[in-house]
Amino acid sequence: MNPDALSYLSNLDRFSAIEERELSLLASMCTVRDVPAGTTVVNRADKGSGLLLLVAGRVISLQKVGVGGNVRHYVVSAPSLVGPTRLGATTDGFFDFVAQSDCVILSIDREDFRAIERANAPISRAMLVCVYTEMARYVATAEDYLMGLYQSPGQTKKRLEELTLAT
Amino acid sequence: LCPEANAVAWGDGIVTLDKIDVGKLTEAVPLLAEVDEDGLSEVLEGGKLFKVPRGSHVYRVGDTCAGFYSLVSGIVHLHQIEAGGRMVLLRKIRAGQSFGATDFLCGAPHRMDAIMVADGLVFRFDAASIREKLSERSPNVMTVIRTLSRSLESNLQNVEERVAHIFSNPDASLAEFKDLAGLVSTVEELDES
Repeated sequence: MNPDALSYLSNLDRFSAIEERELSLLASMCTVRDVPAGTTVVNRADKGSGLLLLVAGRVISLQKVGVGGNVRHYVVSAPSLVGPTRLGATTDGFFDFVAQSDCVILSIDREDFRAIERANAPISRAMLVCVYTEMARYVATAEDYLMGLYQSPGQTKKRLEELTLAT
Repeated sequence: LCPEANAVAWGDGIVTLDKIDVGKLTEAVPLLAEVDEDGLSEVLEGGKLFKVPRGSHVYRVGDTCAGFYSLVSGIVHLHQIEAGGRMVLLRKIRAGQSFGATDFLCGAPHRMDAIMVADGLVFRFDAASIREKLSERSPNVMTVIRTLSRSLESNLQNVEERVAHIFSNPDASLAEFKDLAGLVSTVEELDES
């Protein structure tokens, strides 16, 4: 039992369909991390960093370009997963994820999460559906961001011009 | 997979499962790969196989999400039309790949158009049936959703790579977006006139 994690999870509307005993199981696997603003939550070189659930605050995805430059991409606000591609990653990613405000993150060890998936036990299925739904929401955010670059080409052009000048 | 006599046109109906070689369907739909043989009928009973001709939409932006799809044969493009009228391709779907799952899991209307660019067969996992079985905690449907989540991870990786590519080489990307920006302003000017 992890009372702090359970308290955060119980307050998430999106997890309200999960029965208490299932929520307790999820909470028991979680480590609660308080992350101050400006801290890197996930580095692009992280592999198998686990499943990270942002329960308070905002995280921004940043891309390193040139020498010391950063391009700011999309922001995710709690509740949301953070950098879920790192969960099964075997190669470097493309973005770092940095806390834009003080954040609270629940992290689940990758192997623990995979074990629950493999077990496919009745007690964990609603919780897994919630996690996959959060993953889908995250994918939608990233896809909409990519499409937005093309839907507002003038703004993208401006950003690229600034980047060209900076580098 | 499906005798031609039993194949039906998109919108005209479905090919019922009793007319399908389930073994071949299972081979053609990787989402079913990890489902036990005993569980296949439960997963498939809510699904439908459609024959979709080239040029037809499987769904359009704003459509209610009827489920998620696995492409058995043919090619599907997922795209949006941008302000200048140009098609922006999000993803090219090939046989064996799934699509529409992000919107299904989010419970949202479709955010892209899905258009068939080569004649083919599409298997749809119907939303109502899948949701009902998930609420019953069906292990077989859960297995499908777990497999689906792997393709979501892969899709996300692909999107991040494309975004990163645009900004990692700004000089090259600038040319493309200058053209696009010019096209949009031209259209807006025409609209205003």
